[in-house]
Amino acid sequence: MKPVRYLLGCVLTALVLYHSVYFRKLDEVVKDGALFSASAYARDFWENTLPARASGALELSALLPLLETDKDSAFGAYARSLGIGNIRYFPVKGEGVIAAVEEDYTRLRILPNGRPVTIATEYIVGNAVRDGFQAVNLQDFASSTDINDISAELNRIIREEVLPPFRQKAGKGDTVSFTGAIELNRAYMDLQTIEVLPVQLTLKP
Amino acid sequence: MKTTARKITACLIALFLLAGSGCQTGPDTGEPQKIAIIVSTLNNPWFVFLAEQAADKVRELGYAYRIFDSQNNTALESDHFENVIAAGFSAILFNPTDADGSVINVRNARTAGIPVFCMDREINAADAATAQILSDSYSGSVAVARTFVESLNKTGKYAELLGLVGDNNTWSRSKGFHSVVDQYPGLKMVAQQSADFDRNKAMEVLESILQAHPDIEAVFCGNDAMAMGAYQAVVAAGKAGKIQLFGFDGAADVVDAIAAGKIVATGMQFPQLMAHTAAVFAGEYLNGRRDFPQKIPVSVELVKKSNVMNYLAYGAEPEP
Repeated sequence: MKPVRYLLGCVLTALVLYHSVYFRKLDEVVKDGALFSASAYARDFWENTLPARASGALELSALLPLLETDKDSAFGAYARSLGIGNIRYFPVKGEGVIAAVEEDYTRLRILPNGRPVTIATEYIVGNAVRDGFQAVNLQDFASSTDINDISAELNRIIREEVLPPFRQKAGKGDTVSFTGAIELNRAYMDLQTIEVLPVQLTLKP
Repeated sequence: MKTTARKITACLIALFLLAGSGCQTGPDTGEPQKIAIIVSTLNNPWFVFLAEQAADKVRELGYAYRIFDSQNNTALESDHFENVIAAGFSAILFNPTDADGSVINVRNARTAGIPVFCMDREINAADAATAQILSDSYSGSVAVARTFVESLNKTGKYAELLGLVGDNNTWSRSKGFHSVVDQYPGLKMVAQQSADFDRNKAMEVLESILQAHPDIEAVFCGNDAMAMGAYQAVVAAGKAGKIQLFGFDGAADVVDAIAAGKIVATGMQFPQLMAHTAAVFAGEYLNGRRDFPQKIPVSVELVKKSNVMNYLAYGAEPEP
Protein backbone atom coordinates (compact mmCIF):
# COMPACT_ATOMS: atom_id res chain seq x y z
CA MET A 1 0.00 0.00 0.00
CA LYS A 2 2.77 2.38 0.98
CA PRO A 3 4.41 2.53 -2.48
CA VAL A 4 1.04 3.36 -4.02
CA ARG A 5 0.56 6.23 -1.52
CA TYR A 6 4.05 7.50 -2.22
CA LEU A 7 3.42 7.30 -5.95
CA LEU A 8 0.12 9.17 -5.62
CA GLY A 9 1.81 11.75 -3.41
CA CYS A 10 4.57 12.23 -5.95
CA VAL A 11 2.09 12.59 -8.82
CA LEU A 12 0.01 15.12 -6.85
CA THR A 13 3.13 17.10 -5.89
CA ALA A 14 4.32 17.08 -9.50
CA LEU A 15 0.90 18.28 -10.69
CA VAL A 16 0.81 21.11 -8.13
CA LEU A 17 4.36 22.19 -9.03
CA TYR A 18 3.64 21.97 -12.76
CA HIS A 19 0.66 24.28 -12.46
CA SER A 20 2.37 26.67 -10.03
CA VAL A 21 5.25 27.67 -12.26
CA TYR A 22 5.12 28.73 -15.87
CA PHE A 23 7.29 30.70 -18.25
CA ARG A 24 6.21 33.27 -20.84
CA LYS A 25 8.17 35.44 -23.20
CA LEU A 26 8.50 39.01 -21.98
CA ASP A 27 7.12 40.45 -25.21
CA GLU A 28 3.97 38.33 -24.78
CA VAL A 29 3.47 39.75 -21.30
CA VAL A 30 3.92 43.26 -22.67
CA LYS A 31 1.48 42.51 -25.46
CA ASP A 32 -1.13 41.39 -22.95
CA GLY A 33 -0.77 44.65 -21.08
CA ALA A 34 0.71 43.07 -17.97
CA LEU A 35 3.73 45.36 -18.31
CA PHE A 36 3.49 48.74 -19.94
CA SER A 37 5.77 49.35 -22.89
CA ALA A 38 6.05 53.02 -23.82
CA SER A 39 7.82 52.05 -27.00
CA ALA A 40 5.00 49.71 -28.11
CA TYR A 41 2.40 52.30 -27.13
CA ALA A 42 4.19 55.06 -29.07
CA ARG A 43 4.62 52.83 -32.13
CA ASP A 44 0.95 51.86 -32.11
CA PHE A 45 -0.08 55.52 -31.79
CA TRP A 46 2.36 56.57 -34.50
CA GLU A 47 1.11 54.02 -37.01
CA ASN A 48 -2.59 53.75 -36.25
CA THR A 49 -3.81 57.01 -34.72
CA LEU A 50 -1.42 59.80 -35.66
CA PRO A 51 -2.06 59.79 -39.45
CA ALA A 52 -5.73 60.73 -39.02
CA ARG A 53 -4.93 63.33 -36.36
CA ALA A 54 -2.13 64.78 -38.47
CA SER A 55 -4.49 65.33 -41.37
CA GLY A 56 -6.74 67.33 -39.03
CA ALA A 57 -3.91 69.62 -37.87
CA LEU A 58 -4.39 73.39 -38.11
CA GLU A 59 -2.97 75.41 -40.98
CA LEU A 60 -0.11 77.29 -39.33
CA SER A 61 -0.48 80.19 -41.74
CA ALA A 62 -4.03 80.69 -40.48
CA LEU A 63 -3.32 80.00 -36.81
CA LEU A 64 -0.60 82.64 -36.42
CA PRO A 65 -2.78 85.63 -37.38
CA LEU A 66 -5.56 84.29 -35.16
CA LEU A 67 -3.16 84.08 -32.21
CA GLU A 68 -2.22 87.70 -32.84
CA THR A 69 -5.74 89.02 -33.11
CA ASP A 70 -7.67 86.81 -30.69
CA LYS A 71 -5.27 84.86 -28.52
CA ASP A 72 -7.86 83.73 -25.98
CA SER A 73 -10.15 82.25 -28.64
CA ALA A 74 -7.24 80.52 -30.36
CA PHE A 75 -6.03 78.95 -27.13
CA GLY A 76 -9.57 78.11 -26.05
CA ALA A 77 -10.43 76.37 -29.31
CA TYR A 78 -7.20 74.69 -30.36
CA ALA A 79 -4.62 74.52 -27.56
CA ARG A 80 -4.03 71.18 -25.91
CA SER A 81 -2.23 70.01 -22.82
CA LEU A 82 -2.38 67.14 -20.38
CA GLY A 83 -2.18 69.37 -17.35
CA ILE A 84 -2.71 72.90 -16.14
CA GLY A 85 -0.46 75.94 -16.43
CA ASN A 86 0.64 78.22 -19.24
CA ILE A 87 2.34 75.73 -21.56
CA ARG A 88 0.05 74.66 -24.38
CA TYR A 89 0.49 72.75 -27.66
CA PHE A 90 -1.05 73.05 -31.12
CA PRO A 91 -1.05 70.47 -33.91
CA VAL A 92 -0.10 72.34 -37.08
CA LYS A 93 0.62 71.79 -40.76
CA GLY A 94 1.63 73.88 -43.71
CA GLU A 95 4.01 74.44 -46.53
CA GLY A 96 7.07 76.63 -46.71
CA VAL A 97 10.22 77.50 -48.58
CA ILE A 98 13.52 76.73 -46.87
CA ALA A 99 15.38 79.95 -46.09
CA ALA A 100 18.36 78.35 -44.36
CA VAL A 101 19.57 74.95 -43.21
CA GLU A 102 21.44 75.30 -39.91
CA GLU A 103 22.98 72.81 -37.53
CA ASP A 104 19.98 72.66 -35.19
CA TYR A 105 17.12 74.06 -37.29
CA THR A 106 15.77 74.47 -40.75
CA ARG A 107 14.39 77.97 -41.21
CA LEU A 108 11.27 78.33 -43.34
CA ARG A 109 9.14 81.07 -44.80
CA ILE A 110 5.69 79.59 -44.69
CA LEU A 111 3.32 79.93 -47.60
CA PRO A 112 1.41 81.97 -48.49
CA ASN A 113 2.30 84.80 -46.08
CA GLY A 114 6.05 84.28 -45.77
CA ARG A 115 6.14 84.27 -41.97
CA PRO A 116 9.34 82.85 -40.49
CA VAL A 117 9.20 79.59 -38.50
CA THR A 118 11.77 76.93 -37.75
CA ILE A 119 11.58 73.18 -38.11
CA ALA A 120 13.44 71.56 -35.21
CA THR A 121 16.03 69.13 -36.52
CA GLU A 122 18.23 68.71 -33.43
CA TYR A 123 16.36 69.27 -30.18
CA ILE A 124 13.44 66.89 -30.49
CA VAL A 125 12.41 67.05 -26.86
CA GLY A 126 9.37 67.87 -24.73
CA ASN A 127 5.71 67.02 -24.93
CA ALA A 128 4.58 68.95 -28.01
CA VAL A 129 3.89 65.87 -30.13
CA ARG A 130 2.42 63.75 -27.33
CA ASP A 131 0.06 66.46 -26.13
CA GLY A 132 -0.50 68.33 -29.39
CA PHE A 133 -1.81 65.18 -31.05
CA GLN A 134 -3.44 63.90 -27.86
CA ALA A 135 -1.55 60.64 -27.67
CA VAL A 136 -2.43 60.14 -24.03
CA ASN A 137 -5.57 60.20 -21.92
CA LEU A 138 -4.32 61.09 -18.46
CA GLN A 139 -6.96 58.98 -16.75
CA ASP A 140 -5.63 55.82 -18.43
CA PHE A 141 -2.25 56.07 -16.69
CA ALA A 142 -1.43 55.67 -13.03
CA SER A 143 2.29 56.26 -13.52
CA SER A 144 3.84 59.61 -14.46
CA THR A 145 6.89 57.71 -15.68
CA ASP A 146 4.84 55.92 -18.34
CA ILE A 147 3.47 59.21 -19.62
CA ASN A 148 6.95 60.77 -19.75
CA ASP A 149 8.34 57.72 -21.51
CA ILE A 150 5.69 57.98 -24.23
CA SER A 151 6.94 61.49 -25.05
CA ALA A 152 10.52 60.27 -25.15
CA GLU A 153 9.57 57.38 -27.48
CA LEU A 154 7.58 59.57 -29.87
CA ASN A 155 10.51 61.99 -30.01
CA ARG A 156 12.86 59.09 -30.65
CA ILE A 157 10.78 57.97 -33.65
CA ILE A 158 11.02 61.50 -35.06
CA ARG A 159 14.79 61.62 -34.57
CA GLU A 160 15.36 58.21 -36.10
CA GLU A 161 12.75 58.05 -38.86
CA VAL A 162 11.46 61.49 -39.82
CA LEU A 163 14.60 63.61 -39.72
CA PRO A 164 17.39 61.59 -41.40
CA PRO A 165 15.89 61.53 -44.92
CA PHE A 166 14.90 65.19 -44.63
CA ARG A 167 18.31 66.33 -43.42
CA GLN A 168 19.99 64.41 -46.20
CA LYS A 169 18.14 66.19 -48.98
CA ALA A 170 16.82 69.52 -47.69
CA GLY A 171 18.46 72.62 -49.14
CA LYS A 172 17.88 76.33 -49.34
CA GLY A 173 15.05 77.21 -51.71
CA ASP A 174 13.34 73.81 -51.48
CA THR A 175 9.64 73.70 -50.76
CA VAL A 176 8.64 71.50 -47.84
CA SER A 177 5.28 70.30 -46.65
CA PHE A 178 5.22 69.77 -42.88
CA THR A 179 2.98 68.52 -40.10
CA GLY A 180 3.97 68.77 -36.48
CA ALA A 181 3.29 70.40 -33.15
CA ILE A 182 4.27 73.71 -31.60
CA GLU A 183 4.54 74.81 -27.97
CA LEU A 184 3.37 78.21 -26.81
CA ASN A 185 3.29 79.88 -23.43
CA ARG A 186 -0.17 81.33 -22.98
CA ALA A 187 1.01 84.07 -20.63
CA TYR A 188 4.15 85.07 -22.54
CA MET A 189 3.45 84.18 -26.14
CA ASP A 190 6.33 84.71 -28.56
CA LEU A 191 5.33 84.25 -32.19
CA GLN A 192 8.79 85.27 -33.47
CA THR A 193 10.38 82.01 -32.32
CA ILE A 194 7.85 79.40 -33.45
CA GLU A 195 9.48 75.99 -33.61
CA VAL A 196 7.71 73.02 -35.18
CA LEU A 197 8.49 69.51 -33.94
CA PRO A 198 7.79 67.62 -37.15
CA VAL A 199 5.96 64.30 -37.47
CA GLN A 200 5.84 64.48 -41.27
CA LEU A 201 8.22 66.26 -43.65
CA THR A 202 7.92 66.02 -47.40
CA LEU A 203 10.20 67.81 -49.82
CA LYS A 204 8.36 68.87 -52.94
CA PRO A 205 9.97 68.42 -56.31
CA MET B 1 17.73 82.80 4.20
CA LYS B 2 16.98 80.43 7.07
CA THR B 3 16.25 83.40 9.34
CA THR B 4 13.81 84.76 6.80
CA ALA B 5 12.14 81.38 6.53
CA ARG B 6 11.83 81.16 10.31
CA LYS B 7 10.33 84.63 10.51
CA ILE B 8 7.80 83.79 7.79
CA THR B 9 6.99 80.54 9.57
CA ALA B 10 6.45 82.34 12.88
CA CYS B 11 4.13 84.84 11.22
CA LEU B 12 2.23 82.03 9.54
CA ILE B 13 1.82 80.12 12.78
CA ALA B 14 0.52 83.25 14.49
CA LEU B 15 -1.92 83.77 11.67
CA PHE B 16 -3.05 80.17 11.71
CA LEU B 17 -3.77 80.21 15.40
CA LEU B 18 -6.08 83.13 14.75
CA ALA B 19 -7.68 81.53 11.70
CA GLY B 20 -11.25 80.31 11.65
CA SER B 21 -13.67 83.19 11.59
CA GLY B 22 -16.40 83.62 9.00
CA CYS B 23 -16.25 79.98 7.96
CA GLN B 24 -18.35 77.47 6.06
CA THR B 25 -20.25 75.35 8.55
CA GLY B 26 -20.87 71.62 8.57
CA PRO B 27 -24.29 70.36 7.54
CA ASP B 28 -25.26 68.96 10.94
CA THR B 29 -23.14 70.54 13.59
CA GLY B 30 -23.16 74.22 12.76
CA GLU B 31 -19.43 74.09 13.49
CA PRO B 32 -17.09 75.64 10.93
CA GLN B 33 -15.68 73.07 8.49
CA LYS B 34 -11.91 72.79 8.85
CA ILE B 35 -9.32 72.00 6.22
CA ALA B 36 -5.89 70.74 7.29
CA ILE B 37 -2.79 71.78 5.36
CA ILE B 38 -0.01 69.27 6.03
CA VAL B 39 3.33 70.30 4.52
CA SER B 40 6.59 68.34 4.38
CA THR B 41 8.67 71.18 5.83
CA LEU B 42 8.36 74.84 6.75
CA ASN B 43 12.11 75.22 6.91
CA ASN B 44 12.27 75.99 3.18
CA PRO B 45 10.78 79.21 1.80
CA TRP B 46 9.31 77.39 -1.20
CA PHE B 47 7.15 75.18 1.00
CA VAL B 48 6.27 78.10 3.26
CA PHE B 49 4.95 79.86 0.16
CA LEU B 50 3.00 76.72 -0.84
CA ALA B 51 1.38 76.50 2.60
CA GLU B 52 0.69 80.22 2.70
CA GLN B 53 -1.01 80.14 -0.69
CA ALA B 54 -3.13 77.12 0.29
CA ALA B 55 -4.15 78.87 3.50
CA ASP B 56 -5.06 82.07 1.63
CA LYS B 57 -7.31 80.20 -0.77
CA VAL B 58 -8.95 78.09 1.95
CA ARG B 59 -9.70 81.25 3.92
CA GLU B 60 -11.05 82.94 0.79
CA LEU B 61 -13.38 79.97 0.24
CA GLY B 62 -14.70 80.44 3.77
CA TYR B 63 -13.25 77.45 5.60
CA ALA B 64 -11.22 77.30 8.78
CA TYR B 65 -7.76 75.83 8.47
CA ARG B 66 -4.65 74.83 10.29
CA ILE B 67 -1.15 74.19 8.98
CA PHE B 68 0.94 71.25 10.14
CA ASP B 69 4.71 71.08 9.59
CA SER B 70 5.97 67.51 9.11
CA GLN B 71 9.62 68.64 9.37
CA ASN B 72 10.53 66.11 6.67
CA ASN B 73 9.71 63.37 9.17
CA THR B 74 7.22 60.66 8.18
CA ALA B 75 6.57 59.72 11.82
CA LEU B 76 5.59 63.31 12.62
CA GLU B 77 3.48 63.36 9.47
CA SER B 78 1.63 60.24 10.71
CA ASP B 79 0.95 61.98 14.03
CA HIS B 80 -0.49 64.94 12.15
CA PHE B 81 -2.81 62.68 10.19
CA GLU B 82 -3.99 60.95 13.38
CA ASN B 83 -4.70 64.31 14.98
CA VAL B 84 -6.45 65.65 11.90
CA ILE B 85 -8.67 62.57 11.69
CA ALA B 86 -9.46 62.69 15.41
CA ALA B 87 -10.16 66.43 15.33
CA GLY B 88 -12.80 66.06 12.61
CA PHE B 89 -11.16 68.01 9.78
CA SER B 90 -13.21 67.82 6.58
CA ALA B 91 -10.37 67.69 4.03
CA ILE B 92 -6.58 67.62 3.83
CA LEU B 93 -4.31 69.57 1.48
CA PHE B 94 -1.17 67.51 1.58
CA ASN B 95 2.44 67.94 0.58
CA PRO B 96 3.91 64.47 1.25
CA THR B 97 7.20 63.81 2.97
CA ASP B 98 7.85 60.47 1.31
CA ALA B 99 6.32 59.04 -1.87
CA ASP B 100 6.03 55.57 -0.34
CA GLY B 101 5.96 56.29 3.39
CA SER B 102 3.10 58.78 3.09
CA VAL B 103 0.72 56.39 1.33
CA ILE B 104 -0.49 54.77 4.56
CA ASN B 105 -1.39 58.16 6.01
CA VAL B 106 -3.47 59.05 2.97
CA ARG B 107 -5.19 55.66 3.09
CA ASN B 108 -6.03 56.15 6.77
CA ALA B 109 -7.60 59.51 6.01
CA ARG B 110 -9.55 57.99 3.14
CA THR B 111 -10.81 55.21 5.40
CA ALA B 112 -11.96 57.90 7.81
CA GLY B 113 -13.86 59.56 4.95
CA ILE B 114 -11.52 62.54 4.64
CA PRO B 115 -10.47 63.51 1.10
CA VAL B 116 -6.77 64.19 0.55
CA PHE B 117 -5.46 66.46 -2.20
CA CYS B 118 -1.71 66.13 -2.79
CA MET B 119 0.24 69.23 -3.77
CA ASP B 120 3.52 69.28 -5.71
CA ARG B 121 4.85 65.89 -4.59
CA GLU B 122 3.17 62.65 -5.53
CA ILE B 123 2.56 59.49 -3.54
CA ASN B 124 3.19 56.11 -5.09
CA ALA B 125 -0.44 55.01 -5.15
CA ALA B 126 -3.16 55.82 -7.64
CA ASP B 127 -6.10 54.85 -5.43
CA ALA B 128 -5.42 56.64 -2.17
CA ALA B 129 -5.55 60.42 -2.68
CA THR B 130 -8.68 62.07 -4.09
CA ALA B 131 -6.45 63.97 -6.54
CA GLN B 132 -2.77 64.85 -6.92
CA ILE B 133 -1.79 68.22 -8.35
CA LEU B 134 1.87 67.79 -9.27
CA SER B 135 4.67 69.85 -10.73
CA ASP B 136 5.73 68.30 -14.04
CA SER B 137 9.33 68.06 -12.86
CA TYR B 138 10.41 65.69 -15.61
CA SER B 139 9.28 67.97 -18.44
CA GLY B 140 10.64 71.05 -16.67
CA SER B 141 14.04 69.40 -16.45
CA VAL B 142 13.87 68.49 -20.12
CA ALA B 143 13.51 72.20 -20.90
CA VAL B 144 16.40 73.13 -18.58
CA ALA B 145 18.50 70.36 -20.12
CA ARG B 146 18.02 71.71 -23.62
CA THR B 147 19.33 75.10 -22.52
CA PHE B 148 22.18 73.28 -20.76
CA VAL B 149 23.17 71.54 -24.01
CA GLU B 150 22.89 74.74 -26.03
CA SER B 151 24.89 76.78 -23.48
CA LEU B 152 27.69 74.23 -23.42
CA ASN B 153 27.60 73.86 -27.20
CA LYS B 154 27.14 70.09 -26.76
CA THR B 155 30.54 69.43 -25.16
CA GLY B 156 32.15 69.69 -21.75
CA LYS B 157 32.48 68.10 -18.34
CA TYR B 158 29.79 68.69 -15.76
CA ALA B 159 28.56 67.69 -12.32
CA GLU B 160 25.05 67.02 -11.03
CA LEU B 161 23.80 67.78 -7.52
CA LEU B 162 20.85 65.57 -6.62
CA GLY B 163 18.16 66.31 -4.02
CA LEU B 164 16.88 63.95 -1.34
CA VAL B 165 17.32 60.46 -2.73
CA GLY B 166 13.97 59.29 -1.29
CA ASP B 167 11.97 62.00 -3.04
CA ASN B 168 10.36 61.25 -6.40
CA ASN B 169 11.06 64.81 -7.58
CA THR B 170 14.79 64.22 -7.24
CA TRP B 171 14.66 61.41 -9.77
CA SER B 172 12.04 62.97 -12.04
CA ARG B 173 14.30 65.99 -12.45
CA SER B 174 17.44 63.93 -12.90
CA LYS B 175 15.76 61.58 -15.36
CA GLY B 176 14.28 64.43 -17.40
CA PHE B 177 17.66 66.15 -17.50
CA HIS B 178 19.52 63.03 -18.61
CA SER B 179 16.86 62.14 -21.20
CA VAL B 180 18.25 65.08 -23.18
CA VAL B 181 21.86 65.50 -22.06
CA ASP B 182 22.76 61.82 -22.46
CA GLN B 183 22.07 62.09 -26.19
CA TYR B 184 25.30 64.08 -26.46
CA PRO B 185 28.43 61.99 -25.97
CA GLY B 186 30.52 65.15 -25.80
CA LEU B 187 28.89 66.02 -22.47
CA LYS B 188 30.57 64.02 -19.72
CA MET B 189 29.21 63.84 -16.18
CA VAL B 190 32.25 63.53 -13.89
CA ALA B 191 30.40 63.66 -10.57
CA GLN B 192 26.84 63.06 -9.35
CA GLN B 193 26.21 63.53 -5.64
CA SER B 194 23.27 64.23 -3.36
CA ALA B 195 23.19 67.51 -1.44
CA ASP B 196 19.68 66.86 -0.02
CA PHE B 197 18.15 70.00 -1.58
CA ASP B 198 20.20 71.97 0.99
CA ARG B 199 22.14 75.12 0.19
CA ASN B 200 24.99 74.66 2.67
CA LYS B 201 25.42 71.01 1.83
CA ALA B 202 25.50 71.86 -1.88
CA MET B 203 28.31 74.33 -1.26
CA GLU B 204 30.34 71.73 0.62
CA VAL B 205 29.68 68.98 -1.93
CA LEU B 206 30.62 71.17 -4.88
CA GLU B 207 33.76 72.42 -3.14
CA SER B 208 34.93 68.86 -2.85
CA ILE B 209 33.92 68.06 -6.44
CA LEU B 210 35.88 71.08 -7.67
CA GLN B 211 39.00 69.83 -5.93
CA ALA B 212 38.79 66.55 -7.81
CA HIS B 213 37.50 68.01 -11.08
CA PRO B 214 38.65 71.63 -11.43
CA ASP B 215 37.87 71.53 -15.15
CA ILE B 216 34.08 71.15 -14.98
CA GLU B 217 32.18 73.69 -17.04
CA ALA B 218 28.67 73.33 -15.64
CA VAL B 219 26.60 72.08 -12.72
CA PHE B 220 22.98 70.94 -12.88
CA CYS B 221 21.30 71.30 -9.48
CA GLY B 222 18.03 69.58 -8.59
CA ASN B 223 16.72 72.68 -6.85
CA ASP B 224 17.46 76.37 -6.52
CA ALA B 225 18.73 76.22 -2.94
CA MET B 226 21.49 73.90 -4.17
CA ALA B 227 22.12 76.16 -7.16
CA MET B 228 22.76 79.07 -4.78
CA GLY B 229 25.04 76.88 -2.66
CA ALA B 230 26.86 75.84 -5.82
CA TYR B 231 27.26 79.48 -6.77
CA GLN B 232 28.92 80.20 -3.41
CA ALA B 233 31.34 77.33 -4.00
CA VAL B 234 32.13 78.54 -7.50
CA VAL B 235 32.81 82.09 -6.24
CA ALA B 236 34.99 80.74 -3.42
CA ALA B 237 37.00 78.78 -5.99
CA GLY B 238 37.50 81.90 -8.08
CA LYS B 239 35.56 80.42 -10.98
CA ALA B 240 32.57 82.77 -11.12
CA GLY B 241 31.54 83.19 -14.74
CA LYS B 242 33.56 80.15 -15.80
CA ILE B 243 31.20 77.46 -14.53
CA GLN B 244 27.60 77.58 -15.72
CA LEU B 245 24.95 76.83 -13.09
CA PHE B 246 21.42 75.56 -13.57
CA GLY B 247 18.70 75.18 -10.94
CA PHE B 248 15.08 74.19 -10.49
CA ASP B 249 12.21 75.82 -8.53
CA GLY B 250 12.04 79.51 -9.34
CA ALA B 251 13.15 80.76 -5.91
CA ALA B 252 13.53 84.50 -5.35
CA ASP B 253 17.32 84.57 -5.09
CA VAL B 254 17.77 82.47 -8.23
CA VAL B 255 15.40 84.65 -10.26
CA ASP B 256 17.59 87.60 -9.19
CA ALA B 257 20.76 85.62 -9.94
CA ILE B 258 19.55 84.80 -13.46
CA ALA B 259 18.85 88.47 -14.10
CA ALA B 260 22.38 89.26 -12.85
CA GLY B 261 23.94 86.57 -15.04
CA LYS B 262 25.15 84.45 -12.12
CA ILE B 263 22.94 81.46 -12.90
CA VAL B 264 21.99 80.43 -16.43
CA ALA B 265 18.50 78.98 -16.03
CA THR B 266 15.95 77.38 -13.74
CA GLY B 267 12.66 75.54 -14.05
CA MET B 268 9.91 77.76 -12.65
CA GLN B 269 7.33 75.87 -10.62
CA PHE B 270 3.96 77.29 -9.67
CA PRO B 271 3.17 76.56 -6.02
CA GLN B 272 0.43 79.19 -6.03
CA LEU B 273 -1.42 77.43 -8.85
CA MET B 274 -1.01 74.04 -7.21
CA ALA B 275 -2.14 75.24 -3.79
CA HIS B 276 -5.11 77.15 -5.13
CA THR B 277 -6.23 74.23 -7.31
CA ALA B 278 -6.01 71.85 -4.34
CA ALA B 279 -8.01 74.23 -2.13
CA VAL B 280 -10.68 74.74 -4.80
CA PHE B 281 -10.92 70.97 -5.29
CA ALA B 282 -11.37 70.49 -1.54
CA GLY B 283 -14.16 73.06 -1.52
CA GLU B 284 -15.84 71.38 -4.49
CA TYR B 285 -15.54 68.00 -2.79
CA LEU B 286 -17.25 69.36 0.31
CA ASN B 287 -20.01 70.64 -1.96
CA GLY B 288 -20.60 67.25 -3.52
CA ARG B 289 -18.22 66.86 -6.46
CA ARG B 290 -16.60 63.43 -6.68
CA ASP B 291 -15.17 63.09 -10.21
CA PHE B 292 -11.59 64.32 -9.76
CA PRO B 293 -8.73 63.31 -12.05
CA GLN B 294 -6.18 61.32 -10.06
CA LYS B 295 -3.13 63.23 -11.32
CA ILE B 296 -2.92 66.70 -12.76
CA PRO B 297 0.51 67.78 -14.01
CA VAL B 298 1.28 71.47 -13.63
CA SER B 299 3.61 72.77 -16.31
CA VAL B 300 7.07 74.02 -15.34
CA GLU B 301 8.48 76.93 -17.34
CA LEU B 302 12.06 77.59 -18.36
CA VAL B 303 13.43 80.85 -16.99
CA LYS B 304 16.64 82.25 -18.45
CA LYS B 305 18.13 85.68 -18.93
CA SER B 306 16.10 86.42 -22.07
CA ASN B 307 12.74 85.97 -20.34
CA VAL B 308 13.45 86.44 -16.62
CA MET B 309 11.72 89.82 -16.65
CA ASN B 310 8.40 87.97 -17.05
CA TYR B 311 8.68 86.11 -13.75
CA LEU B 312 8.26 86.79 -10.07
CA ALA B 313 9.70 84.43 -7.48
CA TYR B 314 7.83 81.13 -7.11
CA GLY B 315 5.86 81.91 -10.28
CA ALA B 316 3.56 84.16 -8.27
CA GLU B 317 0.90 86.15 -10.09
CA PRO B 318 1.64 89.88 -10.04
CA GLU B 319 -0.58 91.85 -7.66
CA PRO B 320 -3.53 93.35 -9.56
